[in-house]
Amino acid sequence: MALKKMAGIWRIFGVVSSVLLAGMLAAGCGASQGSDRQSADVSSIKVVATNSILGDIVQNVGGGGVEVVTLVGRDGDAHTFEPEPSDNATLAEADVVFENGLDFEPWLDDLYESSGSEARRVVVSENVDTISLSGESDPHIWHDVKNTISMVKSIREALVEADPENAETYRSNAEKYLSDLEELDEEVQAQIESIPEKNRILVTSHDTFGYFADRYGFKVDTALSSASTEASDPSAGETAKMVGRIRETGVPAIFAENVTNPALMKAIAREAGVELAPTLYTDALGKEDGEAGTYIEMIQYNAKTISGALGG
Amino acid sequence: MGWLLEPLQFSFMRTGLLAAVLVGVTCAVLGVYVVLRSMAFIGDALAHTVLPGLVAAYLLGLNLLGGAVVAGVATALGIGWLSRRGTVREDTAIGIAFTGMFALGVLLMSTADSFRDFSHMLFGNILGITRVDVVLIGVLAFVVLVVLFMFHKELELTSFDPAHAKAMGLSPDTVRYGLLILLSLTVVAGIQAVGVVLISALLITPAAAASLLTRSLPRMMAISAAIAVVSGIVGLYASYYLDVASGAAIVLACTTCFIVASAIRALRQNSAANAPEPLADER
Amino acid sequence: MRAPHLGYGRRGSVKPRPGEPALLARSVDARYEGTSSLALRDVSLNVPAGLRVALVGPNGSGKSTLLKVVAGLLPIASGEVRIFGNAVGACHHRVAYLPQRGEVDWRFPIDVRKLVATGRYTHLGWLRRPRREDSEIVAETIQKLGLSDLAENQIGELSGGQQQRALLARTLVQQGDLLLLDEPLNAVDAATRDIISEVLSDLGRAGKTLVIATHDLTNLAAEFDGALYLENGREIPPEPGNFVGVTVGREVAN
Repeated sequence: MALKKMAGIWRIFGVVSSVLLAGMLAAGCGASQGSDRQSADVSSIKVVATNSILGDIVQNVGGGGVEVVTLVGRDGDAHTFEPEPSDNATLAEADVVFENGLDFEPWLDDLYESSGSEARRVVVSENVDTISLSGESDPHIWHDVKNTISMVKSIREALVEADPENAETYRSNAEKYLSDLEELDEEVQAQIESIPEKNRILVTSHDTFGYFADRYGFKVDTALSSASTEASDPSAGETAKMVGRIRETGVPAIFAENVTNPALMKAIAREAGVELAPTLYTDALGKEDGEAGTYIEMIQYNAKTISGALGG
Repeated sequence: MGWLLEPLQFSFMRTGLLAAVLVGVTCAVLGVYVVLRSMAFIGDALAHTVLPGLVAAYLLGLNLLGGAVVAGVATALGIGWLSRRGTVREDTAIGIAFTGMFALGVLLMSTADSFRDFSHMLFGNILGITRVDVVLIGVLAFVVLVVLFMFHKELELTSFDPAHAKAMGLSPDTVRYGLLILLSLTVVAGIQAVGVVLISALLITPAAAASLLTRSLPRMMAISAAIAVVSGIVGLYASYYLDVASGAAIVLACTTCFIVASAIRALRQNSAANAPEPLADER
Repeated sequence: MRAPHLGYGRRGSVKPRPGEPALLARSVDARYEGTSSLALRDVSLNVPAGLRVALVGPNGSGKSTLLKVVAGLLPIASGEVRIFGNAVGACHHRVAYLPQRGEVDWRFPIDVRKLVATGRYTHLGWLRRPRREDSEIVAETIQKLGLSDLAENQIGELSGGQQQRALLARTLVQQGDLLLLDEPLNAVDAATRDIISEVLSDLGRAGKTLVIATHDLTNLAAEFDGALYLENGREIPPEPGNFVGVTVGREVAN
């Protein structure tokens, strides 16, 4: 009798959870984190990239013949990433693992070891001149297109070494991609030059735009840092101080990144009398067919959004 | 007086204070029933069970409050139904519903890209409340308080003598369902202010403090509401001047009021013990 | 402007039927939720209007259970119960039930006046608030039961006997025609006993129908018209020498 009634309880849970899950899957929110297989037709070598930005860059160099699997997927947050069992398998099967380095993937060492993988690990930031971010090297190197050019070269060499048979393909893919990146770099510079000089201040919540600011002549003001998800919820006093600092800088807009509390950012912007610019992409690409589906689109989108918001 | 007015120049403070007062009064008045009917555990459980509703609404791109109301009311009816059938003990039924629904919420969260949009559901976001939110909270508060006023006599009677109510044809179960629904609406409004984790403090602490100070129900409600309003204001000012988290500051202000109420009660009992007993108990 | 009249339950939808007994129970079985054994077995009772009937038996004999069944607090497992010719619950406003003291949460923050006033709710229903006439009835009854000085006291401050009088006052303000009283004189002081006995005789003189559970065999003949003896949930024949009076049990009910 008691058993039958317990079964009744579980039936309720079953119904509730399946309704909610079904609704969620119908909305297509089910599987953006986790492994994201981009291509698998004529696979000669298997390559893993730790995040979606790196994955896109590697894919451009590798071309259709290379199967690239990314660990932190599109719209994913590297800060809260927790590897799943399937990621172990992915690493175990890989020939080459591309990682950003600079402590951007603190979870990778353990995962690599536990998977028993024998893949070669390639740290793409090895030839990049890093800047310092609170005492350590800032890992967000890709916001400077020049750094990405250096990354592409490292990737090209690694692929050639791992798969000499297809060396020519990799070299020519890289050459084409590098010229696209040069073009992108100029495009960003042109875009930024349209912004009045006094407005070239990025007020953000999270210090990811150091390389971007360095390269394209911006000042970064992390006035909003206490509103970042990595800080605890800001107090009323901190919020008031943020509002004060935004007003002091005199900028027309502030930038929320895809790692902040949107409601609070809106309240702060409203209070300070500035625009809250559309969200910039920082650590991950957006949806595949969206405005930031590739690395190049992401940089274009960020530059356009920044210049639009700051009166460019 | 300047220090009193200074924070008010910020509209987020004015909106936050308004929300804190609205939520505080509603929680405090309803909380009196929660405390007198020993439903504290249910209040906490309801707060946790609206989580999957919030997350599902977010994932589906629907209004968060709407999702929370649906989940809250569904749980309220579910708990009422389970405990009415009397098959498992009520606290067991609540424990099952509470942990199951919270786990479902966490599971739904984990399918999303990150926790970033959910942290303020857990811990509240009173400074980020929009005017639309305040209007919604105001409507919820108004509905809850009006319903409480209209059905006060039934709520009161079923609280202390459900058998008498039933003998008059007034079903205590119906009243209980109604109260659970009001409770879930209140919890949803309160989550905006102090979050899932701390909302039950707003429901329980002011009412419990008031229950130490008076033996009259209307006075208990008034004192409870006053404690909640004062705590909301003091908490937000503390958050402003001491740079501490706002939701936690509000709750701790309530806790302080409770400690003060306990001290007052202890002092009164001491002085009463020295006076002659006014009423001899024959049993 | 008065709120519309929305009675509790199904009350008001059924008119009393003239000529029917105040209470008729036929072969009633009842059990408490979650228990397997019957608390009442095949109990029958016929109480014509205006009669005073005692339910007699030791603790656990089924007296309280029978009263609860009639008051609508406990559903019957089988059999039939009619009150003034109607089903249980169809005329709540004509039935007033006095529970045992232990069923009330005495720590609840209300005063005696409020407790007594809840008896009027049966005539108010949803949304309506007590009016002056209700307050007057409440005040008179409180006075009658000697509680005027305690009317503003929180109910937990009363002694056991005073609590019993407060509950009886609440039962009286319902102005029911059939009163179901569960051990009204159990464990009360002498003053309370006198007051309650006086009230009970007044009720009898006023033509009310009384069904009273008691385990006290003295004075039955003086205070009652008939008696039903119960043991282990069944009707039993009275022991020789015990009061019988008008026959109210199975013989006349079926």
